[in-house]
Amino acid sequence: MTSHAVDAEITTARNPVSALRRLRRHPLGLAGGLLLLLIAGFCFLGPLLHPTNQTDVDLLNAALPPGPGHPLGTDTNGFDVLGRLMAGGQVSLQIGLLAALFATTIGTVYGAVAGLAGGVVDGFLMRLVDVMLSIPFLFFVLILSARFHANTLSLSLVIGGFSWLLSARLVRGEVLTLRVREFVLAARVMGASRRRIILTHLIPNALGVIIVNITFQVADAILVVAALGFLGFGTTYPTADWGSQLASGVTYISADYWWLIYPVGGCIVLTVLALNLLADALRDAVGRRAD
Amino acid sequence: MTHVSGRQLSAALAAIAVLATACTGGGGSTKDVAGSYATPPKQTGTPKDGGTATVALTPGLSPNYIYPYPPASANGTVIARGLMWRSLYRPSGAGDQIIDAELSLAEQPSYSPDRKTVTIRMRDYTWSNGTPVTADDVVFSFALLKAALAESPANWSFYTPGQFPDGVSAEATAPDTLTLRLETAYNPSYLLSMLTLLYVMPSKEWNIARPGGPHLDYTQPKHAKAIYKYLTKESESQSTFASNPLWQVVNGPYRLKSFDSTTGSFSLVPNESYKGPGDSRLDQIDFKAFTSAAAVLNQFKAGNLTVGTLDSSFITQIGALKAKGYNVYGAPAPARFDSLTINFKNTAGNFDKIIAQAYVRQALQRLIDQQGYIASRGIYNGAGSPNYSTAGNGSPYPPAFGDKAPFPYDPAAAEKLLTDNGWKVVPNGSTTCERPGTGPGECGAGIPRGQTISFTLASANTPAYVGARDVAFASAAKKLGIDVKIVTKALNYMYANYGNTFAPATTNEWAMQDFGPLYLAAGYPSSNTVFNTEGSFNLGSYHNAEVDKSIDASTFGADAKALSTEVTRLAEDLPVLFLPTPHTLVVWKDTLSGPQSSFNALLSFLYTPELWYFHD
Repeated sequence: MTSHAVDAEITTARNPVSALRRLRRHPLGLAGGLLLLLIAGFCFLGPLLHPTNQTDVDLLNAALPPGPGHPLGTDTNGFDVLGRLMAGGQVSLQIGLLAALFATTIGTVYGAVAGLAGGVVDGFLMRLVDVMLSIPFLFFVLILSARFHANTLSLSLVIGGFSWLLSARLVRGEVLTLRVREFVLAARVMGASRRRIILTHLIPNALGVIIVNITFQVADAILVVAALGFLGFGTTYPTADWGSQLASGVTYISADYWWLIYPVGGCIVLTVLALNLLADALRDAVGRRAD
Repeated sequence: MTHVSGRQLSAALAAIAVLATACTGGGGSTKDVAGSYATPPKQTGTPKDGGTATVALTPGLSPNYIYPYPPASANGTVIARGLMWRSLYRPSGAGDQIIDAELSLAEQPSYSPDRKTVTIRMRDYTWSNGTPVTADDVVFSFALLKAALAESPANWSFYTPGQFPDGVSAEATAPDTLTLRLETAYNPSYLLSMLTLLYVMPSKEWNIARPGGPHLDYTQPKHAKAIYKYLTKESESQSTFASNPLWQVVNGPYRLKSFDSTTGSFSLVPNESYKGPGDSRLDQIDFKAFTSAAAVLNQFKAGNLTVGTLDSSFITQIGALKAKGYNVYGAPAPARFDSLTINFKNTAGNFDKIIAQAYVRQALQRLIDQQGYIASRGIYNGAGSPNYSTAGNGSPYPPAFGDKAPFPYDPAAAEKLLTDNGWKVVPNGSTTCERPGTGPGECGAGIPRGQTISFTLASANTPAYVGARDVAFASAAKKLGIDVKIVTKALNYMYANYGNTFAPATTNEWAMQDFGPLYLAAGYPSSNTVFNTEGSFNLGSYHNAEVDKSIDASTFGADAKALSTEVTRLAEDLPVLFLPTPHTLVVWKDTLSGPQSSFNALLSFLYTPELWYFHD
């Protein structure tokens, strides 16, 4: 295959219309996307249909099983579980998105610079990534959490601050293949600056990989938030996130308060599944393997 | 292209894991709440010799130290406290007694008329190597305790500078007679409670400063210091706990057989030379460390534990445990009080100025719905008792107000307290000081106009009821425009970092903390060292000159009612915010038995396995 043919294939694959057309032919991906829309609607629009008080503890109505007025029961503070799922979902999705955007932005720029610069700069930047990847994430976060308090922004920054490493590797790999293409060489010959080459040629052409990566990053971040919440280092009252809710529910597992476990566990699983299905479909649609 | 990726597989596995986790809970149901636990089962069965009892340690408190007095810097939890090295007087597991006379190493002390000379006659006990436990050993223990305190007052949380063991000289006037000479007379009950904390160590075997070194005269402080340093250094080597010959010389009913430094689990075997009560019929006691109470419950359900305690969160499991062949007995532990410990030195947001105002503390106490917490299925689930004092439930030194709360739950009264003192209360908003100043109806010293009330409450991540009751408190405060930021912390982290006496660097990290229970000496629940200004366990730097006087009176005076006065004064001044006391559940296999009192004592975590036996 000639380089022209490869460029043509890349261009076709990266054409948004073409990619969307391919995505429509991916039933699992469509299902994932639809499910994600439903979950987002549930979290952000649900409170309009099912308004609940998620700040005032109701001691007398704590840990009620599902019944009239509380379709999924109440938790140990008397908060309506259905409403808490919506509130927790908002936080979890926000953290997931923020962390993914943060990670992808840093990772993309970092990887593009390393890939384009090559040589010693590339070697140094990527060894730095290797070093950071060797730091055990959970251990680091547990140490941080001993001194600092978790909130939506800090959790997003910490998770994003660790997740950009993989994005950087992926984008660097993509840039290594793109930088020898004719359109990049042409831009160089025409005197385009490195900044211009990165921003107008390399990153837009690596967009497929980046979008797929964002989707996976959101899923990963939601799982990390769940894990941190489960370990007791998630958000605290009055904020809720799914991980903290699950942790609280599991604490009462012996009391058979099943409604504190299954619904939130299901939400985490479905969201991550939806994101992964969508990411897989996107990856296929853009025609390149992100990994 | 349609395929199942690794990520999808992971998600599916996660789903299965969540569901499986949920399924493993099972067992009890909310109907089991009615299960009775208030009456301890009677001693039964014909004793059999042999068998191994497996005991669950308190979750999150795995032992890591063996020398009975760990330095504060070691953040140590001592292995089998009281089982290998007995204290001079064994603390009683009953709430109305200070000591268990039968299990003590000495007869009751006798006092001179001025209470400044105390004579103690040793009982006929021997060390595991066959030599007698003598008054010299007690003198040695005194010397080492003083050496520890000379290193740092924080090395013993029961210490107040200038008080016991300061100003106390111990002399062995005969091998079996100890004479204590006191510069200041102590209340006999208080002194007795302090002597329950004096662990007797072998003077002949431990009076060295290096392996095989010369035996030193421990009455000289420099020698005592060298010995103390050596013993604490040896105690840092966890891998040699069971093999170091030093630690095999014991006067208690058991000696260490093995220690797992990774988990903190350990095994004890009987000390054949022990002469105290009890037949030590069990061959071995295995103490298992746990990181969560849920894990303890699971091990009970699997039948892998013989004895252990559970917190009130597991009240619904009584039926399931009984069905599994366990006895369950529950009650509030003697001299236990649960509270939100206040940090009077936290300057963040002028918290120190705000909380110094008694009306603020009273308002906050009125936000705690003790009956509601107890009744709530999400907090105590009925397994708790109201408590408004440091003496705890059923104390022989009750507060003057009896069962009537001095500041009962009343949010309206709390709001009135604030508005009457110059605050503009904004429910669910930010309550602010409108009338600064120190006069009547004004906010108080150091509180500027516009000041809000916002502070951090550090909440232990276990047991479950701690987090639930803290959220309930924060919610009630929010309705009054008070912002309580809850931060969840591991218990060990809180123990190591949240106390102004030993961790001043973190003073502004916590304004209040809820680490669960605090236990005072059952039988004489003095709060000396806890709430007196100089007390080494005065975590929140509480200071009140009048209370200091009350504590002095109960510590040094002879008036038996002084302690009740102290308890009353503290309850009214609120050095902490009082929470209801959850019931502790003691669980043991119905094939194991012993005196009722030995299981009752487990409420205070006092183990007497030498009195237990298996039966058919």
